[in-house]
Amino acid sequence: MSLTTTLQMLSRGRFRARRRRRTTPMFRSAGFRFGILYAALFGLSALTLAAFLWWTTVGLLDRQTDAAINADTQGLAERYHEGGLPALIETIDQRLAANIDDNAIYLLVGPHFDRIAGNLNAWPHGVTMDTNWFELPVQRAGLTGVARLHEFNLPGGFHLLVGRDSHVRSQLRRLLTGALLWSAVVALALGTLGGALVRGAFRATVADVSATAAAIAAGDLSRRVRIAGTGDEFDLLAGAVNDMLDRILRLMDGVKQVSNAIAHDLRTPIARARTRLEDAAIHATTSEELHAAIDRAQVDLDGVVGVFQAILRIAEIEAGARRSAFVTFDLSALIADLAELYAAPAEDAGLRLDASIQYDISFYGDRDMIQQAVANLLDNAIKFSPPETAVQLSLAAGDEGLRIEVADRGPGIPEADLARATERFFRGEQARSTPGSGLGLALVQAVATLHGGTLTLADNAPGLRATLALPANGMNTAS
Amino acid sequence: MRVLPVVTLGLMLSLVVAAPGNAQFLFAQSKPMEITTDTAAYCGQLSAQVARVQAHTAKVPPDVPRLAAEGRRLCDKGLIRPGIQRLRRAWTLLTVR
Repeated sequence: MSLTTTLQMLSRGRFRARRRRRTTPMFRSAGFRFGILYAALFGLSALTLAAFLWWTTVGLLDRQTDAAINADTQGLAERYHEGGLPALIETIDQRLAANIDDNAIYLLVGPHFDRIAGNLNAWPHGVTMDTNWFELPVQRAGLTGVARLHEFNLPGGFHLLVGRDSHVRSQLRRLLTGALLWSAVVALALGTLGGALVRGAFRATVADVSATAAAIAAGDLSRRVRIAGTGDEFDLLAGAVNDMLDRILRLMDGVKQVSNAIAHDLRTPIARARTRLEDAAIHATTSEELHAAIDRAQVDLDGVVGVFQAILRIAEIEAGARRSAFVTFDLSALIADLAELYAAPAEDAGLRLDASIQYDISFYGDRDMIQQAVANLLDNAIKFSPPETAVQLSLAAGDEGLRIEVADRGPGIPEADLARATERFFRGEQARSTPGSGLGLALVQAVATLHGGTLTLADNAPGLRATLALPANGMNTAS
Repeated sequence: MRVLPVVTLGLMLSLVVAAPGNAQFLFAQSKPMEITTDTAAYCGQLSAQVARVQAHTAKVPPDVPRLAAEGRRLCDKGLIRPGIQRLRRAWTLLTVR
Protein backbone atom coordinates (compact mmCIF):
# COMPACT_ATOMS: atom_id res chain seq x y z
CA MET A 1 0.00 0.00 0.00
CA SER A 2 1.56 3.31 -1.06
CA LEU A 3 1.86 6.31 1.22
CA THR A 4 -0.52 8.34 -0.92
CA THR A 5 -3.14 5.60 -0.63
CA THR A 6 -2.65 5.50 3.13
CA LEU A 7 -3.00 9.28 3.40
CA GLN A 8 -6.11 9.21 1.23
CA MET A 9 -7.62 6.56 3.51
CA LEU A 10 -6.70 8.65 6.55
CA SER A 11 -8.27 11.67 4.92
CA ARG A 12 -11.46 9.75 4.14
CA GLY A 13 -11.51 8.56 7.76
CA ARG A 14 -11.07 12.15 8.91
CA PHE A 15 -13.98 13.35 6.78
CA ARG A 16 -16.11 10.53 8.11
CA ALA A 17 -15.06 11.56 11.63
CA ARG A 18 -16.00 15.16 10.80
CA ARG A 19 -19.43 14.04 9.61
CA ARG A 20 -19.84 12.02 12.79
CA ARG A 21 -18.67 14.99 14.88
CA ARG A 22 -21.37 17.17 13.40
CA THR A 23 -24.03 14.72 14.50
CA THR A 24 -22.32 13.34 17.63
CA PRO A 25 -23.96 14.20 20.96
CA MET A 26 -21.92 16.39 23.27
CA PHE A 27 -21.44 13.66 25.89
CA ARG A 28 -19.44 11.62 23.36
CA SER A 29 -16.85 14.36 23.12
CA ALA A 30 -13.55 13.53 24.86
CA GLY A 31 -13.28 17.14 26.02
CA PHE A 32 -16.74 16.99 27.55
CA ARG A 33 -15.84 13.76 29.35
CA PHE A 34 -12.72 15.44 30.75
CA GLY A 35 -14.91 18.32 31.91
CA ILE A 36 -17.28 15.94 33.66
CA LEU A 37 -14.34 14.20 35.29
CA TYR A 38 -13.04 17.59 36.42
CA ALA A 39 -16.45 18.48 37.90
CA ALA A 40 -16.71 15.10 39.62
CA LEU A 41 -13.26 15.51 41.17
CA PHE A 42 -14.16 19.02 42.27
CA GLY A 43 -17.42 17.75 43.80
CA LEU A 44 -15.62 14.92 45.53
CA SER A 45 -13.11 17.35 47.00
CA ALA A 46 -15.94 19.53 48.34
CA LEU A 47 -17.67 16.46 49.76
CA THR A 48 -14.48 15.26 51.41
CA LEU A 49 -13.92 18.68 52.94
CA ALA A 50 -17.51 18.78 54.22
CA ALA A 51 -17.14 15.30 55.73
CA PHE A 52 -13.93 16.35 57.43
CA LEU A 53 -15.51 19.56 58.74
CA TRP A 54 -18.50 17.59 60.00
CA TRP A 55 -16.30 15.12 61.77
CA THR A 56 -14.10 17.78 63.38
CA THR A 57 -16.88 20.20 64.42
CA VAL A 58 -20.11 18.34 65.05
CA GLY A 59 -18.32 15.26 66.30
CA LEU A 60 -16.30 17.40 68.69
CA LEU A 61 -19.42 19.17 69.95
CA ASP A 62 -21.15 15.85 70.53
CA ARG A 63 -18.17 14.48 72.40
CA GLN A 64 -18.03 17.62 74.55
CA THR A 65 -21.78 17.41 75.25
CA ASP A 66 -21.45 13.75 76.26
CA ALA A 67 -18.56 14.61 78.56
CA ALA A 68 -20.57 17.43 80.20
CA ILE A 69 -23.59 15.17 80.70
CA ASN A 70 -21.43 12.41 82.20
CA ALA A 71 -19.75 14.87 84.59
CA ASP A 72 -23.13 16.33 85.55
CA THR A 73 -24.54 12.88 86.18
CA GLN A 74 -21.57 11.91 88.30
CA GLY A 75 -22.09 14.96 90.53
CA LEU A 76 -25.80 14.27 90.89
CA ALA A 77 -25.14 10.64 91.78
CA GLU A 78 -22.72 11.70 94.52
CA ARG A 79 -25.27 14.14 95.96
CA TYR A 80 -27.90 11.38 95.91
CA HIS A 81 -25.64 9.03 97.81
CA GLU A 82 -24.76 11.75 100.35
CA GLY A 83 -28.16 13.29 100.98
CA GLY A 84 -30.71 11.06 99.34
CA LEU A 85 -33.66 12.27 97.29
CA PRO A 86 -34.01 15.77 98.92
CA ALA A 87 -30.36 16.57 98.23
CA LEU A 88 -30.77 15.43 94.62
CA ILE A 89 -33.85 17.63 94.14
CA GLU A 90 -32.07 20.61 95.68
CA THR A 91 -29.01 20.09 93.48
CA ILE A 92 -31.14 19.89 90.34
CA ASP A 93 -32.89 23.15 91.29
CA GLN A 94 -29.53 24.80 91.98
CA ARG A 95 -28.05 23.65 88.70
CA LEU A 96 -31.04 24.89 86.76
CA ALA A 97 -30.77 28.22 88.60
CA ALA A 98 -27.09 28.48 87.70
CA ASN A 99 -27.56 27.42 84.06
CA ILE A 100 -26.66 30.75 82.42
CA ASP A 101 -26.25 29.05 79.00
CA ASP A 102 -29.89 27.96 79.29
CA ASN A 103 -29.22 24.59 77.71
CA ALA A 104 -29.44 22.09 80.57
CA ILE A 105 -32.26 19.57 80.86
CA TYR A 106 -33.06 17.54 83.99
CA LEU A 107 -36.00 15.37 84.91
CA LEU A 108 -36.38 13.28 88.05
CA VAL A 109 -39.40 10.97 88.20
CA GLY A 110 -40.69 8.48 90.75
CA PRO A 111 -41.34 4.75 90.28
CA HIS A 112 -44.61 5.56 88.50
CA PHE A 113 -42.95 8.21 86.30
CA ASP A 114 -44.59 11.05 88.22
CA ARG A 115 -42.52 14.24 87.89
CA ILE A 116 -40.54 15.23 91.02
CA ALA A 117 -37.97 17.80 89.83
CA GLY A 118 -36.40 19.21 86.66
CA ASN A 119 -37.37 21.34 83.69
CA LEU A 120 -38.94 18.76 81.37
CA ASN A 121 -42.74 18.71 81.59
CA ALA A 122 -43.12 14.91 81.49
CA TRP A 123 -41.34 11.62 80.97
CA PRO A 124 -40.99 11.18 77.19
CA HIS A 125 -42.81 8.38 75.43
CA GLY A 126 -40.67 5.55 74.25
CA VAL A 127 -37.94 5.91 76.85
CA THR A 128 -37.49 2.51 78.45
CA MET A 129 -35.08 1.30 81.07
CA ASP A 130 -32.51 0.29 78.47
CA THR A 131 -32.69 3.39 76.25
CA ASN A 132 -29.55 4.94 77.78
CA TRP A 133 -28.54 7.67 75.23
CA PHE A 134 -31.15 9.24 72.97
CA GLU A 135 -32.12 12.43 71.16
CA LEU A 136 -35.41 14.16 71.70
CA PRO A 137 -37.31 17.04 70.09
CA VAL A 138 -37.80 19.80 72.66
CA GLN A 139 -39.49 23.18 72.68
CA ARG A 140 -37.83 26.01 74.54
CA ALA A 141 -39.47 29.48 74.54
CA GLY A 142 -41.54 28.52 71.52
CA LEU A 143 -38.55 27.31 69.50
CA THR A 144 -38.24 23.65 68.61
CA GLY A 145 -34.83 22.02 68.74
CA VAL A 146 -33.16 18.72 69.47
CA ALA A 147 -31.76 17.71 72.84
CA ARG A 148 -29.33 14.95 73.68
CA LEU A 149 -30.20 13.04 76.84
CA HIS A 150 -28.96 10.21 79.04
CA GLU A 151 -31.24 8.11 81.18
CA PHE A 152 -30.25 6.70 84.61
CA ASN A 153 -32.05 4.43 86.99
CA LEU A 154 -31.68 5.29 90.66
CA PRO A 155 -32.20 3.02 93.66
CA GLY A 156 -35.81 2.97 94.89
CA GLY A 157 -37.26 2.92 91.37
CA PHE A 158 -36.46 6.56 90.62
CA HIS A 159 -35.40 7.59 87.12
CA LEU A 160 -33.29 10.52 86.10
CA LEU A 161 -32.80 12.22 82.72
CA VAL A 162 -29.80 14.49 82.18
CA GLY A 163 -29.28 16.28 78.88
CA ARG A 164 -28.26 19.29 76.89
CA ASP A 165 -29.78 21.20 73.99
CA SER A 166 -27.94 20.53 70.75
CA HIS A 167 -29.14 23.52 68.78
CA VAL A 168 -25.53 24.48 67.93
CA ARG A 169 -25.15 21.08 66.30
CA SER A 170 -28.35 21.65 64.34
CA GLN A 171 -27.12 25.06 63.20
CA LEU A 172 -23.84 23.56 62.08
CA ARG A 173 -25.67 20.80 60.24
CA ARG A 174 -27.71 23.42 58.39
CA LEU A 175 -24.56 25.45 57.67
CA LEU A 176 -22.65 22.49 56.30
CA THR A 177 -25.59 21.26 54.27
CA GLY A 178 -25.92 24.70 52.74
CA ALA A 179 -22.19 24.87 52.06
CA LEU A 180 -22.32 21.43 50.46
CA LEU A 181 -25.19 22.39 48.21
CA TRP A 182 -23.45 25.59 47.18
CA SER A 183 -20.27 23.62 46.56
CA ALA A 184 -22.24 21.29 44.30
CA VAL A 185 -23.63 24.26 42.38
CA VAL A 186 -20.19 25.85 42.05
CA ALA A 187 -18.68 22.49 41.04
CA LEU A 188 -21.35 22.07 38.40
CA ALA A 189 -20.79 25.58 37.04
CA LEU A 190 -16.98 25.34 37.08
CA GLY A 191 -17.12 21.82 35.70
CA THR A 192 -19.28 22.96 32.79
CA LEU A 193 -16.99 25.90 32.15
CA GLY A 194 -13.86 23.74 32.48
CA GLY A 195 -15.40 21.11 30.22
CA ALA A 196 -16.17 23.72 27.58
CA LEU A 197 -12.62 25.11 27.79
CA VAL A 198 -10.99 21.67 27.64
CA ARG A 199 -13.28 20.68 24.77
CA GLY A 200 -12.34 23.84 22.89
CA ALA A 201 -8.61 23.25 23.47
CA PHE A 202 -8.94 19.63 22.31
CA ARG A 203 -10.84 20.64 19.21
CA ALA A 204 -8.34 23.37 18.31
CA THR A 205 -5.39 20.97 18.60
CA VAL A 206 -7.07 18.09 16.79
CA ALA A 207 -8.27 20.49 14.09
CA ASP A 208 -4.67 21.55 13.41
CA VAL A 209 -3.48 17.93 13.17
CA SER A 210 -6.48 17.11 11.00
CA ALA A 211 -5.88 20.08 8.69
CA THR A 212 -2.22 19.06 8.32
CA ALA A 213 -3.21 15.48 7.45
CA ALA A 214 -5.72 16.78 4.90
CA ALA A 215 -3.12 19.07 3.32
CA ILE A 216 -0.63 16.21 3.06
CA ALA A 217 -3.28 13.91 1.61
CA ALA A 218 -3.98 16.62 -0.96
CA GLY A 219 -0.32 16.58 -1.99
CA ASP A 220 1.23 19.35 0.09
CA LEU A 221 3.97 17.31 1.76
CA SER A 222 5.61 20.41 3.22
CA ARG A 223 2.79 21.04 5.75
CA ARG A 224 3.56 20.37 9.44
CA VAL A 225 1.57 20.49 12.66
CA ARG A 226 1.97 23.79 14.49
CA ILE A 227 4.06 23.62 17.68
CA ALA A 228 2.91 26.19 20.24
CA GLY A 229 6.25 26.12 22.05
CA THR A 230 4.77 25.52 25.49
CA GLY A 231 6.38 22.10 25.73
CA ASP A 232 3.11 20.47 26.78
CA GLU A 233 1.74 17.09 25.70
CA PHE A 234 0.17 18.60 22.59
CA ASP A 235 3.54 20.00 21.58
CA LEU A 236 5.11 16.58 22.13
CA LEU A 237 2.41 15.02 19.98
CA ALA A 238 2.86 17.66 17.29
CA GLY A 239 6.64 17.11 17.38
CA ALA A 240 6.19 13.34 17.08
CA VAL A 241 3.77 13.74 14.15
CA ASN A 242 6.18 16.15 12.43
CA ASP A 243 9.10 13.77 12.96
CA MET A 244 6.99 10.98 11.51
CA LEU A 245 6.14 13.12 8.48
CA ASP A 246 9.82 14.02 8.00
CA ARG A 247 10.71 10.35 8.16
CA ILE A 248 7.99 9.46 5.66
CA LEU A 249 9.22 12.17 3.34
CA ARG A 250 12.78 10.90 3.59
CA LEU A 251 11.61 7.35 2.88
CA MET A 252 9.61 8.57 -0.09
CA ASP A 253 12.65 10.41 -1.39
CA GLY A 254 14.71 7.25 -0.86
CA VAL A 255 12.19 5.11 -2.74
CA LYS A 256 12.13 7.66 -5.55
CA GLN A 257 15.92 7.81 -5.63
CA VAL A 258 16.27 4.01 -5.67
CA SER A 259 13.66 3.73 -8.42
CA ASN A 260 15.53 6.30 -10.49
CA ALA A 261 18.85 4.59 -9.79
CA ILE A 262 17.50 1.18 -10.81
CA ALA A 263 16.06 2.60 -14.00
CA HIS A 264 19.31 4.42 -14.77
CA ASP A 265 21.73 1.60 -13.88
CA LEU A 266 19.81 -1.14 -15.61
CA ARG A 267 18.90 0.75 -18.72
CA THR A 268 22.50 0.80 -20.00
CA PRO A 269 23.26 -2.95 -19.83
CA ILE A 270 19.82 -3.90 -21.09
CA ALA A 271 20.07 -1.44 -23.98
CA ARG A 272 23.56 -2.71 -24.70
CA ALA A 273 22.41 -6.33 -24.77
CA ARG A 274 19.52 -5.39 -27.03
CA THR A 275 21.83 -3.54 -29.41
CA ARG A 276 24.26 -6.48 -29.53
CA LEU A 277 21.47 -8.93 -30.30
CA GLU A 278 19.92 -6.62 -32.87
CA ASP A 279 23.30 -6.03 -34.50
CA ALA A 280 24.00 -9.75 -34.55
CA ALA A 281 20.57 -10.50 -36.02
CA ILE A 282 21.22 -8.05 -38.85
CA HIS A 283 24.94 -8.41 -39.50
CA ALA A 284 26.05 -11.83 -38.24
CA THR A 285 26.97 -14.04 -41.13
CA THR A 286 28.18 -17.07 -39.25
CA SER A 287 26.85 -19.00 -36.31
CA GLU A 288 30.10 -18.23 -34.41
CA GLU A 289 29.46 -14.48 -34.66
CA LEU A 290 25.89 -15.02 -33.52
CA HIS A 291 26.99 -17.09 -30.51
CA ALA A 292 29.62 -14.51 -29.59
CA ALA A 293 26.97 -11.74 -29.61
CA ILE A 294 24.61 -13.86 -27.52
CA ASP A 295 27.41 -14.56 -25.01
CA ARG A 296 28.20 -10.86 -24.67
CA ALA A 297 24.51 -10.03 -24.22
CA GLN A 298 24.30 -12.80 -21.61
CA VAL A 299 27.15 -11.20 -19.68
CA ASP A 300 25.30 -7.87 -19.71
CA LEU A 301 22.10 -9.51 -18.56
CA ASP A 302 23.94 -11.44 -15.83
CA GLY A 303 25.05 -8.06 -14.50
CA VAL A 304 21.41 -6.96 -14.37
CA VAL A 305 20.44 -10.16 -12.56
CA GLY A 306 23.31 -9.58 -10.16
CA VAL A 307 22.02 -6.11 -9.29
CA PHE A 308 18.55 -7.49 -8.61
CA GLN A 309 20.00 -10.28 -6.48
CA ALA A 310 21.96 -7.72 -4.45
CA ILE A 311 18.82 -5.60 -3.92
CA LEU A 312 16.84 -8.65 -2.86
CA ARG A 313 19.61 -9.75 -0.54
CA ILE A 314 19.74 -6.34 1.17
CA ALA A 315 15.95 -6.41 1.54
CA GLU A 316 16.18 -9.91 2.98
CA ILE A 317 18.84 -8.80 5.48
CA GLU A 318 16.89 -5.69 6.46
CA ALA A 319 13.77 -7.79 7.03
CA GLY A 320 15.73 -9.89 9.53
CA ALA A 321 14.97 -13.11 7.65
CA ARG A 322 18.63 -14.15 7.91
CA ARG A 323 18.56 -14.37 11.71
CA SER A 324 17.57 -18.02 11.47
CA ALA A 325 21.03 -18.64 9.97
CA PHE A 326 22.83 -17.34 13.06
CA VAL A 327 25.43 -19.73 14.47
CA THR A 328 28.56 -19.38 16.57
CA PHE A 329 31.57 -19.52 14.27
CA ASP A 330 35.30 -18.80 14.34
CA LEU A 331 35.49 -15.21 13.11
CA SER A 332 39.29 -15.12 13.28
CA ALA A 333 39.53 -18.06 10.90
CA LEU A 334 37.03 -16.45 8.54
CA ILE A 335 38.98 -13.17 8.38
CA ALA A 336 42.25 -15.08 7.94
CA ASP A 337 40.72 -17.03 5.03
CA LEU A 338 39.55 -13.77 3.44
CA ALA A 339 43.02 -12.26 3.88
CA GLU A 340 44.52 -15.27 2.14
CA LEU A 341 41.87 -15.22 -0.60
CA TYR A 342 42.31 -11.52 -1.39
CA ALA A 343 46.09 -11.57 -1.23
CA ALA A 344 46.27 -12.78 -4.85
CA PRO A 345 43.98 -10.18 -6.45
CA ALA A 346 45.71 -7.51 -4.38
CA GLU A 347 49.06 -8.65 -5.67
CA ASP A 348 47.67 -8.64 -9.23
CA ALA A 349 46.69 -5.01 -8.70
CA GLY A 350 50.17 -4.20 -7.45
CA LEU A 351 49.04 -3.91 -3.85
CA ARG A 352 50.05 -5.44 -0.55
CA LEU A 353 47.44 -6.81 1.82
CA ASP A 354 48.55 -6.46 5.46
CA ALA A 355 46.46 -8.52 7.86
CA SER A 356 46.45 -8.03 11.63
CA ILE A 357 44.13 -10.62 13.11
CA GLN A 358 43.48 -11.39 16.74
CA TYR A 359 42.98 -15.12 16.87
CA ASP A 360 40.47 -17.35 18.70
CA ILE A 361 37.55 -14.95 18.41
CA SER A 362 34.19 -16.66 18.07
CA PHE A 363 31.11 -14.76 17.03
CA TYR A 364 27.37 -15.50 16.99
CA GLY A 365 25.91 -14.38 13.66
CA ASP A 366 25.44 -15.17 10.00
CA ARG A 367 28.82 -16.40 8.74
CA ASP A 368 28.01 -15.94 5.05
CA MET A 369 26.78 -12.40 5.56
CA ILE A 370 29.85 -11.36 7.55
CA GLN A 371 32.02 -12.93 4.88
CA GLN A 372 30.11 -11.06 2.16
CA ALA A 373 30.38 -7.76 4.06
CA VAL A 374 34.16 -8.00 4.61
CA ALA A 375 34.61 -9.18 1.02
CA ASN A 376 32.73 -6.10 -0.21
CA LEU A 377 35.00 -3.83 1.85
CA LEU A 378 38.11 -5.58 0.51
CA ASP A 379 36.77 -5.41 -3.07
CA ASN A 380 36.28 -1.67 -2.73
CA ALA A 381 39.71 -1.17 -1.14
CA ILE A 382 41.49 -3.11 -3.88
CA LYS A 383 39.45 -1.44 -6.61
CA PHE A 384 40.23 2.12 -5.50
CA SER A 385 43.80 1.79 -4.15
CA PRO A 386 46.64 3.07 -6.32
CA PRO A 387 49.47 0.61 -7.06
CA GLU A 388 52.40 0.21 -4.70
CA THR A 389 50.24 0.89 -1.64
CA ALA A 390 48.95 -1.37 1.14
CA VAL A 391 45.44 -2.41 2.08
CA GLN A 392 45.14 -3.11 5.79
CA LEU A 393 42.75 -5.68 7.18
CA SER A 394 42.45 -6.06 10.95
CA LEU A 395 40.31 -7.83 13.51
CA ALA A 396 40.48 -6.90 17.19
CA ALA A 397 38.32 -7.53 20.22
CA GLY A 398 37.82 -4.95 22.96
CA ASP A 399 35.54 -4.19 25.87
CA GLU A 400 32.93 -2.63 23.61
CA GLY A 401 32.87 -5.45 21.11
CA LEU A 402 34.95 -6.30 18.10
CA ARG A 403 36.15 -4.23 15.19
CA ILE A 404 36.87 -5.34 11.66
CA GLU A 405 38.73 -2.61 9.81
CA VAL A 406 39.63 -2.29 6.15
CA ALA A 407 41.83 0.70 5.32
CA ASP A 408 43.22 1.74 1.98
CA ARG A 409 45.26 4.59 0.48
CA GLY A 410 42.86 5.35 -2.36
CA PRO A 411 41.01 8.60 -3.09
CA GLY A 412 38.65 8.02 -0.17
CA ILE A 413 35.18 9.56 0.03
CA PRO A 414 34.67 13.31 0.32
CA GLU A 415 33.38 14.50 3.70
CA ALA A 416 30.10 15.63 2.17
CA ASP A 417 29.40 12.17 0.69
CA LEU A 418 30.33 10.09 3.75
CA ALA A 419 26.83 10.13 5.22
CA ARG A 420 25.23 9.03 1.97
CA ALA A 421 27.87 6.49 0.96
CA THR A 422 25.91 3.59 2.43
CA GLU A 423 22.69 4.44 0.59
CA ARG A 424 21.62 2.10 -2.16
CA PHE A 425 22.98 2.99 -5.63
CA PHE A 426 24.98 5.90 -4.27
CA ARG A 427 28.17 6.40 -6.29
CA GLY A 428 30.59 9.19 -5.61
CA GLU A 429 32.09 11.30 -8.37
CA GLN A 430 35.37 9.36 -8.32
CA ALA A 431 33.57 6.00 -8.46
CA ARG A 432 31.53 6.72 -11.56
CA SER A 433 34.33 5.65 -13.87
CA THR A 434 34.78 2.29 -12.14
CA PRO A 435 32.52 -0.72 -12.58
CA GLY A 436 29.99 -1.34 -9.81
CA SER A 437 26.40 -0.93 -8.86
CA GLY A 438 26.63 1.19 -5.72
CA LEU A 439 25.16 -1.57 -3.59
CA GLY A 440 28.29 -2.90 -1.86
CA LEU A 441 28.40 -0.54 1.13
CA ALA A 442 24.59 -0.65 1.41
CA LEU A 443 24.87 -4.40 1.91
CA VAL A 444 27.65 -3.98 4.51
CA GLN A 445 25.47 -1.46 6.34
CA ALA A 446 22.53 -3.89 6.28
CA VAL A 447 24.73 -6.72 7.63
CA ALA A 448 26.02 -4.47 10.44
CA THR A 449 22.46 -3.49 11.39
CA LEU A 450 21.33 -7.12 11.26
CA HIS A 451 23.99 -8.02 13.83
CA GLY A 452 23.30 -4.97 16.02
CA GLY A 453 26.51 -3.29 14.93
CA THR A 454 27.55 -0.23 12.95
CA LEU A 455 29.50 0.63 9.84
CA THR A 456 31.67 3.71 10.14
CA LEU A 457 33.46 5.32 7.21
CA ALA A 458 36.30 7.71 7.97
CA ASP A 459 39.12 9.50 6.25
CA ASN A 460 42.36 7.45 6.36
CA ALA A 461 44.43 10.47 5.27
CA PRO A 462 44.64 9.54 2.49
CA GLY A 463 42.17 6.82 1.69
CA LEU A 464 39.20 5.32 3.40
CA ARG A 465 38.95 3.51 6.70
CA ALA A 466 35.84 1.33 6.93
CA THR A 467 35.12 -0.02 10.42
CA LEU A 468 32.58 -2.74 10.99
CA ALA A 469 31.86 -2.67 14.74
CA LEU A 470 29.97 -5.65 16.07
CA PRO A 471 28.50 -5.99 19.58
CA ALA A 472 30.19 -7.87 22.39
CA ASN A 473 27.16 -10.05 23.11
CA GLY A 474 27.74 -11.96 19.88
CA MET A 475 31.42 -12.40 20.64
CA ASN A 476 33.30 -15.11 22.45
CA THR A 477 37.07 -14.79 22.82
CA ALA A 478 38.87 -17.93 23.80
CA SER A 479 42.17 -16.21 24.45
CA MET B 1 -14.60 6.40 35.85
CA ARG B 2 -16.24 3.40 37.56
CA VAL B 3 -14.37 4.24 40.76
CA LEU B 4 -16.16 7.57 41.17
CA PRO B 5 -19.59 6.25 42.27
CA VAL B 6 -17.89 3.97 44.81
CA VAL B 7 -15.82 6.83 46.23
CA THR B 8 -18.88 9.09 46.38
CA LEU B 9 -20.87 6.42 48.20
CA GLY B 10 -17.98 5.92 50.61
CA LEU B 11 -17.83 9.62 51.38
CA MET B 12 -21.59 9.75 51.90
CA LEU B 13 -21.30 6.88 54.34
CA SER B 14 -18.40 8.61 56.05
CA LEU B 15 -20.67 11.62 56.61
CA VAL B 16 -23.20 9.38 58.29
CA VAL B 17 -20.52 7.61 60.32
CA ALA B 18 -18.93 10.93 61.27
CA ALA B 19 -22.11 11.82 63.12
CA PRO B 20 -21.88 10.10 66.53
CA GLY B 21 -23.90 6.95 66.33
CA ASN B 22 -24.26 6.11 70.00
CA ALA B 23 -27.56 8.02 70.38
CA GLN B 24 -30.84 7.05 68.82
CA PHE B 25 -33.47 9.55 67.79
CA LEU B 26 -36.67 9.08 69.76
CA PHE B 27 -39.23 8.75 66.96
CA ALA B 28 -41.93 7.72 69.45
CA GLN B 29 -41.84 11.26 70.81
CA SER B 30 -43.20 13.04 67.77
CA LYS B 31 -44.49 16.05 69.73
CA PRO B 32 -41.69 18.21 71.18
CA MET B 33 -41.31 18.02 74.94
CA GLU B 34 -41.72 21.33 76.73
CA ILE B 35 -38.95 22.90 78.76
CA THR B 36 -40.39 24.49 81.87
CA THR B 37 -37.51 26.79 82.81
CA ASP B 38 -38.49 29.45 80.29
CA THR B 39 -41.85 30.29 81.77
CA ALA B 40 -43.08 33.18 83.88
CA ALA B 41 -43.78 30.70 86.67
CA TYR B 42 -40.15 29.61 86.74
CA CYS B 43 -39.07 33.26 86.65
CA GLY B 44 -41.11 33.85 89.80
CA GLN B 45 -39.75 30.69 91.40
CA LEU B 46 -36.15 31.66 90.59
CA SER B 47 -36.74 35.21 91.79
CA ALA B 48 -37.99 33.89 95.13
CA GLN B 49 -35.04 31.49 95.31
CA VAL B 50 -32.58 34.36 94.76
CA ALA B 51 -34.37 36.55 97.31
CA ARG B 52 -34.29 33.76 99.91
CA VAL B 53 -30.56 33.17 99.54
CA GLN B 54 -29.93 36.90 99.38
CA ALA B 55 -31.75 37.38 102.66
CA HIS B 56 -29.58 34.79 104.35
CA THR B 57 -26.33 36.10 102.93
CA ALA B 58 -24.34 38.48 105.08
CA LYS B 59 -22.30 40.13 102.40
CA VAL B 60 -24.21 40.28 99.15
CA PRO B 61 -22.13 41.15 96.08
CA PRO B 62 -23.04 44.62 94.83
CA ASP B 63 -24.27 43.40 91.42
CA VAL B 64 -26.71 40.86 92.84
CA PRO B 65 -29.52 43.24 93.88
CA ARG B 66 -29.31 45.08 90.59
CA LEU B 67 -29.33 41.87 88.49
CA ALA B 68 -32.18 40.41 90.56
CA ALA B 69 -34.23 43.60 90.21
CA GLU B 70 -33.57 43.75 86.47
CA GLY B 71 -34.56 40.11 86.12
CA ARG B 72 -37.87 40.63 87.93
CA ARG B 73 -38.63 43.75 85.92
CA LEU B 74 -37.93 42.02 82.58
CA CYS B 75 -40.07 39.02 83.53
CA ASP B 76 -42.90 41.38 84.53
CA LYS B 77 -42.65 43.00 81.11
CA GLY B 78 -42.95 39.57 79.45
CA LEU B 79 -39.28 39.28 78.51
CA ILE B 80 -38.98 35.95 80.27
CA ARG B 81 -35.69 34.57 78.95
CA PRO B 82 -33.63 37.78 79.49
CA GLY B 83 -35.19 38.10 82.92
CA ILE B 84 -34.33 34.51 83.84
CA GLN B 85 -30.82 35.00 82.52
CA ARG B 86 -30.19 37.99 84.85
CA LEU B 87 -31.65 36.14 87.79
CA ARG B 88 -29.36 33.19 87.01
CA ARG B 89 -26.35 35.51 86.93
CA ALA B 90 -27.42 36.94 90.29
CA TRP B 91 -27.80 33.41 91.64
CA THR B 92 -24.36 32.44 90.34
CA LEU B 93 -22.76 35.47 92.02
CA LEU B 94 -24.48 34.61 95.29
CA THR B 95 -23.70 30.90 95.32
CA VAL B 96 -20.19 30.99 93.89
CA ARG B 97 -19.06 33.01 96.94
